Order: sequence, then structure tokens, then C-alpha cells
Amino acid sequence: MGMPLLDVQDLKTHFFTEDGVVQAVDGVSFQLEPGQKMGLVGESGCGKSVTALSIMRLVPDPPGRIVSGRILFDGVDLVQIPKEEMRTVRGRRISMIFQDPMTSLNPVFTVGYQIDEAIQLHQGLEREEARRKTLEMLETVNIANPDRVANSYPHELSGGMRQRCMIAMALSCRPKLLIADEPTTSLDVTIEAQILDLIDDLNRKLNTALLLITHDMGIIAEMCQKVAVMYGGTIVEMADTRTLFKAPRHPYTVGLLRSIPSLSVEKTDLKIIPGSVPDLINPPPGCRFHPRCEHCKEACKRERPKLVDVGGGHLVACHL
Amino acid sequence: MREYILKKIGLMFVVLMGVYTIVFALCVAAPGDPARIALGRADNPLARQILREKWGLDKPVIQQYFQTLKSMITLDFPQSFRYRENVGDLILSRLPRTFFLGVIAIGVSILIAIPAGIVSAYKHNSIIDNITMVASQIGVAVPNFWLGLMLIVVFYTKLHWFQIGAPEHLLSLEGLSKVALPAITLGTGMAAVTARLTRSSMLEVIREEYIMTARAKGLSERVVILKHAFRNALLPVVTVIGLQFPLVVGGAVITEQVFGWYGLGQLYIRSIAARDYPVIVTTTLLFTIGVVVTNLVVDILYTYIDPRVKYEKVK
Amino acid sequence: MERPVARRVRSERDLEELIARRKENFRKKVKFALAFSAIIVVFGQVYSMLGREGTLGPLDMSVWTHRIFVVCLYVLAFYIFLKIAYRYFDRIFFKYRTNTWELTWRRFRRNNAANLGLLIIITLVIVAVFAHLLAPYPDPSKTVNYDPNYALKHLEEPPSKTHILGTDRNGRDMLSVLIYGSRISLALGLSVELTASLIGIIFGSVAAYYGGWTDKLLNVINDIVMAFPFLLFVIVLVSVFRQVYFSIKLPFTDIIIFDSAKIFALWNGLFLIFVALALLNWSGVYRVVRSRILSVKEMEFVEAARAVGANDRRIIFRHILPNVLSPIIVLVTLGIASVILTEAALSYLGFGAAEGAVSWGRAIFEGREYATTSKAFLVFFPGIAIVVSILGFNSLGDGLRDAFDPRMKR
Repeated sequence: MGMPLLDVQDLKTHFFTEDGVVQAVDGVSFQLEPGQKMGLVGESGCGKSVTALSIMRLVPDPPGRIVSGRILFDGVDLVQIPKEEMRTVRGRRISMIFQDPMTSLNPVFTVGYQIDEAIQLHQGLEREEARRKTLEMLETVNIANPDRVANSYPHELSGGMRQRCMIAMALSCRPKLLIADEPTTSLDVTIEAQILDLIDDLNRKLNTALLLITHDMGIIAEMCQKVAVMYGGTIVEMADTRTLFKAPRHPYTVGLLRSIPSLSVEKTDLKIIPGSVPDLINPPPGCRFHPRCEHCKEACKRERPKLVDVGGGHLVACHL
Repeated sequence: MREYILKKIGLMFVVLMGVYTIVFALCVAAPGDPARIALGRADNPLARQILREKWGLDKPVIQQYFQTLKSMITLDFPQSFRYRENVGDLILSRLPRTFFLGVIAIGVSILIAIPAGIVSAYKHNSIIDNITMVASQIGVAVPNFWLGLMLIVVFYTKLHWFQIGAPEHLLSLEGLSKVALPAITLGTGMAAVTARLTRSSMLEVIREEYIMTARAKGLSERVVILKHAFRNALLPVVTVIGLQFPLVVGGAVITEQVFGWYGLGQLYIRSIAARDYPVIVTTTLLFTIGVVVTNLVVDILYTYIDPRVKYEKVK
Repeated sequence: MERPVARRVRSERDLEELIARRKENFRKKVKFALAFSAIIVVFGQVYSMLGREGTLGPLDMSVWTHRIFVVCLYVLAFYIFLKIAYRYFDRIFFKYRTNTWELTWRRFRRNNAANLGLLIIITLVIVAVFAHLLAPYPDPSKTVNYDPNYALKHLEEPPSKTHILGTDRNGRDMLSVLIYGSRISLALGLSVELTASLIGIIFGSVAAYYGGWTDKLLNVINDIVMAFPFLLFVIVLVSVFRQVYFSIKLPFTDIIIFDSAKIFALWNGLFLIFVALALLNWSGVYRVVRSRILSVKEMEFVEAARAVGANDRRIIFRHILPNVLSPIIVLVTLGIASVILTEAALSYLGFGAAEGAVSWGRAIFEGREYATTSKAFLVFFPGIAIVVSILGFNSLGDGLRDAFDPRMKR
């Protein structure tokens, strides 16, 4: 297969706040091939969004900083390159879309203007040329009246349309990697399905790799080829989707899958994972999950487990 | 939208009428006979009577009320008691000076305050931020006229950098050197408030999601801040600048007094002392109109700046 | 219950962070002290520019450094006192109960500027209340205390050893004028603001509660008041009572219930200013009260409270009042500052305090012709007094506002 498109090696991003150092991402490593669709799943606060922001180097610098690690994108270490170069990467070779399209689009500019801006920036085109491309892009995301929509303001459009425009804007310069941070969490279910279909479609058509961040296992099952489960700032299990769902090894993953309510099985109580998310300023020593783990042993309390291959590229970080 | 403007204009008229009535009542109630004041030493009952008749002061109050109102509306201004001129001409001769002073003061203060606010917000908690904050605190705390006096002492008496007084031609070197100190005095308060507000507004806006999106697009920091953030931060700033306007008017009155700048403000004060009713009433109404119109303009400007604002009936 | 500020140090990393945080706090305080001294230096510069030539008198540097040193010592002592007082306050109020006010309190404690403001205001209050003990010379407003011979000999003297800040146009000691003047500023500020707030609260609640035409009417009145040329109103008011002597008698009797001379004499003419300012300053409070009550009316928890069976009065006291009280406190504090400024401005124009009254604005008025000459100190010191007190009120007001409603994350 050759060199992976994205190769994250032992990324650590910490936030230096008044109350202490928040170790939001503490040693995350994974790889992504060109055109591959990968999911990053976990509870709120486990560090998945911060990982994505770190890749884009968008971590707000006064409190946060990438402390160590390498992020190789097409062979270039994104952590080391100068700021100007990173700017050419953003939007052009890696794009990101965010959770709430209402607040992610600037309310005082028309949608078309914002997309034009991206195109003009990275492709150096004139206003009319850029506008033509914008309209093209809007059609690609299945918007019926691209002209009318382009001249509308974000608050005049519906949630689904806004998210489509965000996608259009992100993909307008044909990036090689699209990072989607909970793209459908604020949309209702029917729209969610449309958006996911669209993303899937575009991934195939444009061969854009996808890093999908979500807390919804259902979306992962539907969309992704490869999954990484994050907990407490680290990846605890990573495998291709089928394997993960069929044979999860890490207790946390097991717990997650078990807690999905199922329509087919008869009514039982909802299974939960007891306890709550760890404090990332003072994480529990050893394995981060051990306070909530049913199978916790002495070793788990002392030593942090490393990711180990248990067969066929299925990586688990557990002492069991 | 048009409905809104019409309604606002209607409200404006109500307010103006209210102000007019109160001003008129105050003039009537205020003791002190303009005739007596105007005559000075040549005062005698007969002369007073003649003057009062001439000025229409002997007619019943209600009649005076409506007559003055009519003359305002038809722009056929009566004559000032104190000066020999028509009130209209009088005001016209003074207005340019006050206007000039006001424009320069507001212009300079905006030109300094807004960039200062933006930079402070961007470099939050840095040295520049702290200096700006402290400077704006002081700017608000310093009394207008005292600042003027101190500026006169330092820059005119000691350093001779600028001049004082009312210039003949406004747009000349003389005019500029004479308008400098009054403009600084007048503009300081407003600059302080604007700087602080711009800073806090920018701070709020910079934390919004769409700024993150703009950065994710790969735009340079400068564009992100100056285009995306600033446009959004502008809204409350514009409102407050509009609200500051009556204070600037009041400040202009005082500043003109301090610097001997023969403008509308000085005229106002002298007329009050001399019970020059026509001038008092007309100038007051002029000021009020200025204030109200500015508010209306700000409201309309709002719809251009923020497309979310629509003054239509929400069904 | 553990004191909320001290945290258990659980590991050595905690210790490092604690040290880092203490260092940061220390740096903040150093920055603050530097700013403070920078301001003093700037003002000192201006002051020295006032009288390089001419009669500023023996600018005895040793005397001045000594005085500035004393002031700094005072400020330091006050800070230490404040820290101790805060700790006691904390222990009394918050040791056994934690409620929402504690967070507010903690935020306020941390705010350096607000503490400085508090320092200034408390100093001001002490000076005003104990003026007769602190001023080197007797009350300048009481003519009984004048020794005309002495006064005539010492007109407009620059600062010297006997008169620390010089004497004014009437031969009165400037320092005493400033000290007694603080009484007027504080008293006027407080009374105007309290009255105006009362008016604002009443109007605001009535407008919000009854809605409809009452609301519209009050809004229009509010608009008129805001657009009104304030100066005119005050000036006419002052002129009326100053120049005309009239009195209102109860019908059929000889009992005078309203005597214009007496009204004018009250506070040497400041009573009128009080009335005018109070009548025109209630807009801010009105709008805040009205909007808070309106929003609370809409909010769901009112319905919830009613569903549980709370009656109107309970709703008002438990839910509306706390919401409304905090912004009003902030507005009042800031309002006092604006009142002091306005009084000074009016006095400067000649329409404020009357002849013989002791107020900072009046002092500037009396000294204003000398600004271009070498006797600028007549104007300088009252101005400094005004600037400092307004800085104090503004800082405190801002600190209170940030404590009650922090919107900016650091």
C-alpha cells in the first residue's frame, strides 16, 4: 500500500490552565491510508476533538500545546513545519468540518462568499471563476438552487443545508483528508442520514480520506472501515470495524457496545458502565480505565498498558 | 422595514414635542426678564415694554407656544434677543465650528480606539492590553474640562506646540493647530469607552466557532481577525458610539467653554444666561434632533452590518 | 469542610503546579504595582511641569518624596489589612455554607483593580466622615472659621510647608478644601443614585408588571428623559431658585411650607443639583429592572414555581429580586462616579455649588482663569481628587460587575 496518508506517532497535547495541566491527548498513535474512512469514537471529554485539532494545529495556543509526537502527513511532519506552511495545508490538503453548522458559519457573510473565499485563497482565482466553482460544489452536495443558496446568509438556511454548505466549503479545494468532528450530532435523524450518505458518496468520488469523530457507534458501524476507541486521552482499542463489533477485546469497548439499546432483542435494562470520566489533570495511575473496569487487576493499577497487536492489525491496550 | 422607520420617525416627533414643551415651560417659568438683561443700564419700564412687545413676550403663553412652534416648522426663525441676527443665521454661523470640532474629535477617537481595542483583544493580557486598559480607565475618570485645562497648561503654556482660540478658517494650518487640543479633550472619554468595548466585543467573538472554521480554511490570522472577527464585533460598538453622541454634545458645550471656541456650545451657555429664549429653544431642539437622528441612523446601519437583524413584524 | 482555596497536594506534580500558579499571581501583582507607580510618575511629571518657572514655590523634592512614600506605605498597609479582613470574612460567611455567592466573592477577591477601588472608596469614606479630625485647618465652608487677616495674607499660595497643597483664591487651605469637599461629593453621589434607583425600580417594575399602555407610556417618558438636554434643565432650575425669592404659603395661614431661599441654601445650592440629577438619571436602572422582570416573567421557572403553588409575592422576592439586585448595585456604583463628574462639570460652568461652598468642582471653577499661568496648581489638585475617586468607583463597579456576571474567560 505504500506510505500512509496520515501517520500520527505518539501525539501528546496538553492544556496548561490555572487549575493544572490537562493531559487531553496523552500518547495517541494511528495511521490512515489514502481514501480510507476511519472513525474515532469515545465519550465526551476523551480527547477525540483535541486530537483532530492537533492534526490541524488549531489548538488554541495560550492554554494548549502539542507537547510531543509527530504527525506525518504525506511524509511531512505537521508539528514541525512553520506556520505559513501549515496555512497552505489547512483547507487545501486537510479540511475540517465542525459540529454545529449554525455557529460554524460566519453569520454576517453569505454562504457563497465564504466558499468563494476558500477557493480564492487556495486556487488564486478571480471572483467570477471562484463563484462558478462554488456553484459547482454546491450542486455536488445536492443542493437544489445553488444560486439562491449561495446568496443566502447562514441563518436563512435549514440545518441540513448549512451542513451541506460546510461540506462544500471543506471539499472545495479537493483535500486529501477530511476531518469531520461530530458532523451530525446537531441534526435530526433523517437529515443525518442524508448527510452521512453525502459524505460517503464524496469520499468515493473524490477519494478523500475521512477521519470521522463521533460518540455514536451506529454511525461508525455504517460509515467507517477502521475504528479507534479513545478513552481518557489514549486509544484503548483499534481495529477494522467488523472485527471491533464482532469481537471487542477491551473492557471499555465491550461496555460501550453493550450499552447500545437494541430494538431487536427483548426488553432488558439498559446496561451502563459504572463510574464517570477520569479527571485529566490527575488521571488515575496505570490503566486509565481501571477504576471502572470489571476485570481490574493489580497490574492494571500500576502500569499503563501499551497497544498490542492481537491478530490481524487489531490493537488493544489492556493487560488481559 | 419601512414600517419600522416610519414608526421610529413618529416616535421621534413625539419626543421632540415633549422636549419642546418642557423647554418652553422652563423658559416661561424661569425668572429673569430678557428685556431687563438686554437693556442693562438703560433699563426703564417703558423700554422694557417696547422690547417685550417687539419680541412677542406680552402675548399669552399658549399663543407664544404655538407661534414659536409654527416658526420652527416653517423655518422662519425669529430674531435673537441678544444678538441682532436671525436665530437661523446665528446658528448657521456657529454650527460649522462645532461640527468641525465634533467630527475631528469623534474621528480621531475612533481611529485610535478601535485599533487599540482590536490589538488588545488579540494580545490578551499582554503589555499592550494592560496599557490600553489602564489608559481607558483613566480616560473615563478624568473630567473633561480638567483635562482641557491640563492640556492647555502642558502643551500650550509650557511647550507651545498648539494654539488656542477660535480660528478664522477651519481648514487651515491655524485651524488645525487650534482644533487639536479641544478635539483631544472632547474625544478622550469616547475613545476610552470605545476601546474597552471593542476589546471585550472582540474577545467574545474570537471565541466563536466560525473563527475556528475560518482558521481551518487556511486564512491568515490577519484576515481572520480583521475581516471575520471584526465585522461581528462591530455591532455593539456601533450601538454604543450612537449612544455616546448626546454625551459628546454635552462635552462639546463644556469644551468650547474651556478653549474659547466660538461654537454652538458657547452660544448655548451665553443664551441661557441672557434668557435668549429663541436661541435656547432652537438650539435645544437642534441638539435633540441630532441625538434622535443619530439613534435612527445607528438602527438602520445595524441592518446593513448584521444580516440577522430585521425590523419586520415577527408573525 | 475544607477551605476551598487550599487543595490537597496529591503528588509532586501538584506541588509544581501550585508553585507555578503562585508565581503567576506574583507576576500579576508586580505588573499591577508597576502600573500604579507609572501612573504616579506621570502625574508627578505633569505636576512638575506646572511650575517650573514662577511661583510654584520651593519645590522641595525631599518633602515630596517623603509624602509619596507615606502614601505608598498607607496603600501597602491597607492591602495587608484587606487580606486579613478577607480571610476573616471568608471564615465567617463561607466556612459552613457554600452557596452561589461564594463564587462571586472569590472572583471579587482575585480582582486586583476592584480591590484598589475598594481601598480608594473606603479611604474616601473615612476622609469624609472624619474630616474634622484629618484636615489640618478648620472647615472652610464655615465662615466662622475664617480669620480674614490670615486669609488675605495667604491668597493663592503655592504649596509650601504650612499649606501642603497651597491655598485657594479665598485664602483657604487647599488640602482642607479637598478633604471637606469629599463630603459633598460622596453625599451628593450617594443620595442622587439612591433616589434615582428608587425611581427607576418603581417605574421599571410598574412598566414590566402592567405592560400594555403603561409600559409604552413609561418607555416614551424614558426616551424623553434620555434625549433631554440635561444642562439646560439644571441651569434653569438653578437660576429659578437662585434669583427669585418666592415662597408658597398654606392657604389662609401664614405658614410657609416652601421657601425658595431656604431650598437654595440647602447645601449651598447643591440640593437643586440633587433634584435635577435624580430626576434625570434613572434611565439605566429603569431599563435593567424592566428587562429583568420581563425576562423572568417569561421564563419557565416562574411557571414551575406557580405549578408548585407559590404566590406572587414569593415569586417576586425569591426569584426576581436577586436577579435584579446585582446589576443595580453595579449601576449605582458606576452612577456615583458619573454624578461626581457631572457635579464638577456643572460647578465649572458656574451652575453648581454656590459661592463659598466647598466642592471639588467649585475649586476648579474658582481656579480656572489661572490655568494658563503659573498658578495652575489651583486647578491641578482638585482635579486629581476627582480623578482618583472616579477611578476608585469605576474599578469597584467593574469589579462588582465581573464578579456577578463573568462573561470573559481569562
